[in-house]
Amino acid sequence: MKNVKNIPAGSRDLIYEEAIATRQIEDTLLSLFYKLGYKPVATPVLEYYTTFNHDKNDIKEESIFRFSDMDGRTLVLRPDNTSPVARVALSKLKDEELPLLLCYSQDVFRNRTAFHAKRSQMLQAGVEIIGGDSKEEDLRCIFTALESLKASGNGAKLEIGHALFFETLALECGLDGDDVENLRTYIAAKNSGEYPFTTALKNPKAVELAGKLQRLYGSSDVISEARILAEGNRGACRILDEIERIINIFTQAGYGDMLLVDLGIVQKIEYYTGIVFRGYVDGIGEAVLSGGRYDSLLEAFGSDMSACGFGLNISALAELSSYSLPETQKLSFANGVADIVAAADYLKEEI
Amino acid sequence: MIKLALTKGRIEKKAIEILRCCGYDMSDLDDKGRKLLFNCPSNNGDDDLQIVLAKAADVITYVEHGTCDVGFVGRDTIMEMGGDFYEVIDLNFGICRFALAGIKDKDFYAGYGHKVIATKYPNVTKKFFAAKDIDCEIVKIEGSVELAPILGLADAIVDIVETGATLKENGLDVYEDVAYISARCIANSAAIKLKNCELNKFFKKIEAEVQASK
Repeated sequence: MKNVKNIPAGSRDLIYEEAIATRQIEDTLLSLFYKLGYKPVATPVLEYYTTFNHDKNDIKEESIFRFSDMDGRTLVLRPDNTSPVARVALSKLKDEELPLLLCYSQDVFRNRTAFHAKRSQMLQAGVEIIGGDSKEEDLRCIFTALESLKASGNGAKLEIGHALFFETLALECGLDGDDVENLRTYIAAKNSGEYPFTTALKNPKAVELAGKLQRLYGSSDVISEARILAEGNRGACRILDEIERIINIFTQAGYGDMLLVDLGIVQKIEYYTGIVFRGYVDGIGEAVLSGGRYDSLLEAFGSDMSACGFGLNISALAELSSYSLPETQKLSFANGVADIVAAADYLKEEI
Repeated sequence: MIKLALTKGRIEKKAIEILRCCGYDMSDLDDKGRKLLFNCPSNNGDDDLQIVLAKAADVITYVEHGTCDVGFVGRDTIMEMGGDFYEVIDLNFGICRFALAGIKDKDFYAGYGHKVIATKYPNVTKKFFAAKDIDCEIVKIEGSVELAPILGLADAIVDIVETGATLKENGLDVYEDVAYISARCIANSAAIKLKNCELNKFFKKIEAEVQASK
């Protein structure tokens, strides 16, 4: 197996247009982030597994590339950007003024199942906002997400939901343990077939929840439908008020066309703790942006500070976009001094 | 236009019938020949359908990648393949079940011995036994799974059972039901948001038709 000219499945060589597109999109997003007051950080590709192996982590263990160092400690190829940025914020930047606005653009690595054409290396740009007033920072974060999406592709949509809407309603129905987990998976798949309740669980409230929540996505009209489901549940009503407030603010500010609501967003691990959102653009069959409020992640690093943020998949966007190569000129260096002076003059003109 | 991936074979005929009742002109599929792509215009001014005929597992792949917006596929394949997509409607046909079956009148759970299970659905089998905290060895079989317990290769099988006739004829019996199966309408998770209006209209029509034929 000498001189193998292949790369592993899931890896990509980026050639010409795709390489340029990747850099262009990255530049566009980073300058947007800088303009909005976010400061850049870059964290190492190799980290200790412990940075990611906390109970708020939603990355499957088998999808992380792992090695060991000389002392036998487990190292990983960074599978996610949020945990390392949180680590930096709570260690090296712990005395900075709050809210701390950070941004990044760096690769994440995931070990993917074979033959699914999914990438194991993905360039992700994003922001993390640590501390500050949650309501205000949610608006800052969503505004940044909307503007990032606008700069990223056609027909961009941002859907907004809340990580705890399902939980709040499920608790009220008296569901717990496995029942919540099963119903969660069911709602997550937007499965509208009749949920196979065991008789013990089957109370009218739970049946109503299992039959309706997965349909509550689309335009902001679904909020009023959700009010019927949430009636009498103060926690759930407050969540709807909050989503409505955000939708109203951004609609009045002229972003109404881009906004959708999805109240059926549920999560397997308690990573997000408040507003959650996902962004889509035409031509990409999965969410290109995802984020939200994840106060509890910082708990894993021993902090009680609030935090929110999002990441955007630049690799997927670069594949879609049609940047062309800039006009280039092949300079001659055959004539030594004269050519070098000419080349230097040419560069000056360009600048 | 809505792109729909349709599973060839078992559920194809009934699916076409439902779509016809929903107001799509399905005549392009009358004489299929070697074609794989079919245009099915809407008779009532809604978005037209483009239909792709594919094997069950490929329907999921196409929908997951977003090359098709929606797909019709059996719950059996969904359970085995998993993946990232929405499973929006139970189409209420193609009904059967996954069952654990073996030699008639044998107590499958008796004894401490390591169980060997033959199946075409290793993931479904793995999950089923993991939930019961039972370790078992899974042997993947491609053809008639019923042979495995008869020949002594496996203690039992996990397979699709419709009427149970094949089992009975071979001296086998169902020990336990594993899961209920029917045809489902699945949808790409981005398409459902980007084509929200078109797809909601489509889902409503399909749901009404499914309700009507109950």
